[in-house]
Amino acid sequence: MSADAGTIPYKEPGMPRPQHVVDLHDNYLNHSKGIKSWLLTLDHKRIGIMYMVGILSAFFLGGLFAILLRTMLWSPVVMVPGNEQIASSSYRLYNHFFTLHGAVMVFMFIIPAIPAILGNFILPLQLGAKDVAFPRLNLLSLYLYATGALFFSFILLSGVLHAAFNITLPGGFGLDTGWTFYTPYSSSKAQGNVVAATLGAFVLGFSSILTGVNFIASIHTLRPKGMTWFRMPLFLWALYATSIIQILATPVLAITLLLLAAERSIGIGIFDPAMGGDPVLFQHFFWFYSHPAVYIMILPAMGVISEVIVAFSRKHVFGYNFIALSSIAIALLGFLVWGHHMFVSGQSPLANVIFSLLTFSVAIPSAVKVFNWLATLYKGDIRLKTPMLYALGFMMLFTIGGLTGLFLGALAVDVHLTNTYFIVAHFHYVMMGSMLFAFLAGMYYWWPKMFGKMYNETVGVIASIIVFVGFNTAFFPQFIAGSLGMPRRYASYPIQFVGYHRASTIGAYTMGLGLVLVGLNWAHALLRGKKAPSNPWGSNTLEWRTPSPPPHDNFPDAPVANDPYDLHGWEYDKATENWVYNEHAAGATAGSH
Amino acid sequence: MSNAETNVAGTALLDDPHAEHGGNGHDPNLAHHFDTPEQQYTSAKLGMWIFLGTELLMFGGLFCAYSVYRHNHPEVFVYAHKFLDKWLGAVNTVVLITSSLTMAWAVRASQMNKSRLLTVLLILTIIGGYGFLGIKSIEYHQKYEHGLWFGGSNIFSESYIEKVGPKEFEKSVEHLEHTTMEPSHAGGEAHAGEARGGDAHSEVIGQANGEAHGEAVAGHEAVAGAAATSQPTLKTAAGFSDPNAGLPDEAKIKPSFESPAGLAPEVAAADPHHHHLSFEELALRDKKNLATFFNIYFFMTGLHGVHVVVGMSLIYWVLLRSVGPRGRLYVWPLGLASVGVFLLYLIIITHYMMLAVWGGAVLLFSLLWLVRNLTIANSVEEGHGEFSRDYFTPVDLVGLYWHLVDLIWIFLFPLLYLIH
Repeated sequence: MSADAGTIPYKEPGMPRPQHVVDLHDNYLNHSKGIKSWLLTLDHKRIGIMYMVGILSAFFLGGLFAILLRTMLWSPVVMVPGNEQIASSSYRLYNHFFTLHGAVMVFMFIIPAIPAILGNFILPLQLGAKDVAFPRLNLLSLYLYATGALFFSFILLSGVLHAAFNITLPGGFGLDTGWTFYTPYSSSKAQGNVVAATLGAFVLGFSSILTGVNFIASIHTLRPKGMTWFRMPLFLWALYATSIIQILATPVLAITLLLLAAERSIGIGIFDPAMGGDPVLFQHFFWFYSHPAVYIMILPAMGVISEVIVAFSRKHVFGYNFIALSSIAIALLGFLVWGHHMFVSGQSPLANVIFSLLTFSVAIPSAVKVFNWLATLYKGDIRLKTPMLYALGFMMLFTIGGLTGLFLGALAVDVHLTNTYFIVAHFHYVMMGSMLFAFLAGMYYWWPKMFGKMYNETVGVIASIIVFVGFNTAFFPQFIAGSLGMPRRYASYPIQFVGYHRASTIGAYTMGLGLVLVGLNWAHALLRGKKAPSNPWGSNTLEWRTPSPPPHDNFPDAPVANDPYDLHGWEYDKATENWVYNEHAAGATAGSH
Repeated sequence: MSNAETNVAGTALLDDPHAEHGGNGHDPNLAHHFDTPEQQYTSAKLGMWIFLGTELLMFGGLFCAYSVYRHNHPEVFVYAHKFLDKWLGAVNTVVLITSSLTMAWAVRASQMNKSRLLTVLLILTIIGGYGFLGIKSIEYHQKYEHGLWFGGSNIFSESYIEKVGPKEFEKSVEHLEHTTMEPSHAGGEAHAGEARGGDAHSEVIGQANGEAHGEAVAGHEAVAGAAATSQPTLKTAAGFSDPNAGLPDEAKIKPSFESPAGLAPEVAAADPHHHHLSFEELALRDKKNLATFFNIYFFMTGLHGVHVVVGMSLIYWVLLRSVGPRGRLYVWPLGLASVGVFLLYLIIITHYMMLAVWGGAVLLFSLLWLVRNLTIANSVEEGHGEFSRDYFTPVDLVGLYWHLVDLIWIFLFPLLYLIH
């Protein structure tokens, strides 16, 4: 800015917002009608819902291929004289399957799911604001996501069609590099359409960056009266930390993918040893993004858990400052550990030792969170509703996933375990178990607010138990198989691993069944669900102080924030099944402290 | 969105029909979800700075890749950068910095309500962008002409060498060195070569640098094992490589003493420090890697060029908003004419003349459009555009972006053109 930045002659600051009487039947869903009013909307809530449709479709696609590849692994296909043809085509198909599963799940589901769906919908509501800071940018990032996702899945699917039925679509031969695009599998030795796939991922990354920019600016400038930084809901802290990672890491992925596209198309040479380049440099670049990306996946999940645990323990969160700052600590430390993906890639021993040490240090803020949640639960008035069941599941799965991460961070152990199913199990416990459980917890928790409809509690509970059992059946055996030496990414395996693989496959089917039940429950809630009250869980964050579903402008009057986890004064009203705020009770209990 | 009507049609009783659009309903530039213009301005500025941070990180990754490659192969950069025209690069730096000045001035003009000045300065900034891209096109064209294009169209690339064979390749490199390098660039060897008639190039080197160097050259042409022995001699970073390093002291012949007959004395005196690598002196592995320098050059400057085009488009968008309805009659055709200019630049780079048909057609059409608009201009109301001291956010933000584009070039220029 120029020198007179301090003296820009602005008009008088606006008066307090006028109080309007708002039609209680007006909400963001029926505010305007027609397909155009959705496609061109600038309303963060509608954008969140459209993200939900896209991201759940991506989840379905990725899940379908998870089931397919688990089915392929039911029995090993051994290459013996006579069946080379069948075996090699089956192996090729397997490569396409797991690439599609991994790439779709990572880039199109896990990374955007919580920030783009729940973040978009809930963040302005929790801020007591009318929208995010840049609504147009928000819509643009939705369209970038849609474009990138359609393009990317088209490329991947055309590869599957080619491998399975020998049908060649314009998408060419798809992608069989795994989601990591390691050179030279993705450059000189690639068989697929790497350039197109990287462009798809590039566009998806752009969408992620714009969402991050939007959230940071919103949290900085749109907080309402009374909401200081340390009175923000923990979900906002988590989204803030996530956005920091998104804007710091994703640009590096962008340039990595561009360089990879150049490597593949013109042979730029930076990653090619024949031209003086360094293939390990690609791994450095890739993991400089993709390791922090792991925290893009898990941090918002942790934010959801903080909200849910408080609401269903009926107790103030324990150690607010520690949970809030541990999110930032994880975000920053997460940038210093990427080298632990390359312990066996020929990195120098000194670098290995440093990265190993730093990796252990990330365990500290993660554990801080888990212990604070446990302390919140302690002596709480715990209600085992569906969101809470998922949150408790998260805590168990995240603990297992996190602690097995320490095995892998230890140098000597990692040499044994790297590139085995142990890693597959570890990151599924963290990325899939933890993140998916938190996502489901958040979806159930905010479902009444988003759609104004209640889901069926009994079905929700049953489905959550099925998903939990299925998940552990699928992935716990993989820890054992991996420690016994079952390598990851292989289309076939020695016969002694057949038991583990079949257990995994049965678990995958079970989890698939549970998730179908979840989907049916949601569909039923949408069509036949009971009308939801404004605050079905008795939470004190601002989004529960507006009708469900919220009106177009979010709040009839601009709310004033207080301590988001002070639950005193909220009383359950049996007649309306709603929690209502009783100021008298709040004063009385507050006084007794 | 026309929400007010919908709500009034319902039961909503609004104190102010514009309440949804702006906190106090008076400022058309205040979005409905902000309370004050100041809050809106702060948000926009913060968002832009964060976005600029992501841009810097993206280029940061590229600079990192550059650094790793240059660290591993310093001689490749020392040798190959001489093919870039540093004068054109320097002129371009001046052009871009000047356009940054006009942009900053434009922001100031909008803050001071000087809408005419704002328009003029925005146009000047866009012209600066055209100057930059035009000079860049000339540079790219030179590279293309000299066979220093990216990928397989570079004479140092493996596929080219395979195509023409090693003999022809050596010849074309020699030709390239003589035709493209300025005398001061080519150093002692090139002068020597010229002095003795060019063709005797390698022979001259043999004489000039003594037997030891002759051995080194033999080493390059032999297998990698032999090349390895001569590599340490080329590992010096300063651009001067002592061909005699590693030999017994008595065999060393100082280069400053070896100026051949006919060489100007001042060049000879400056020789040790202004000595530049020649192709013959490069290690075998560096010879193989030369094409990568040009790939990196085109990738970095190309990505920067894309940013220049984006920046120019944004400035054009601000320009459209900075003029009234009558001004737009002129600005629209000029925007179309820009497309024609870009096509001309493509012709400069590729010499693909079919583009001239399209470029000419676009330019002609925009000229006709402009003439037609001139005739109806009198019937259109004069206006001042959207920006004033109360609302100049877009000018400010686009200005920031343009400065970033400028800044990246200021890093690219020395990193690619001015290597020692």
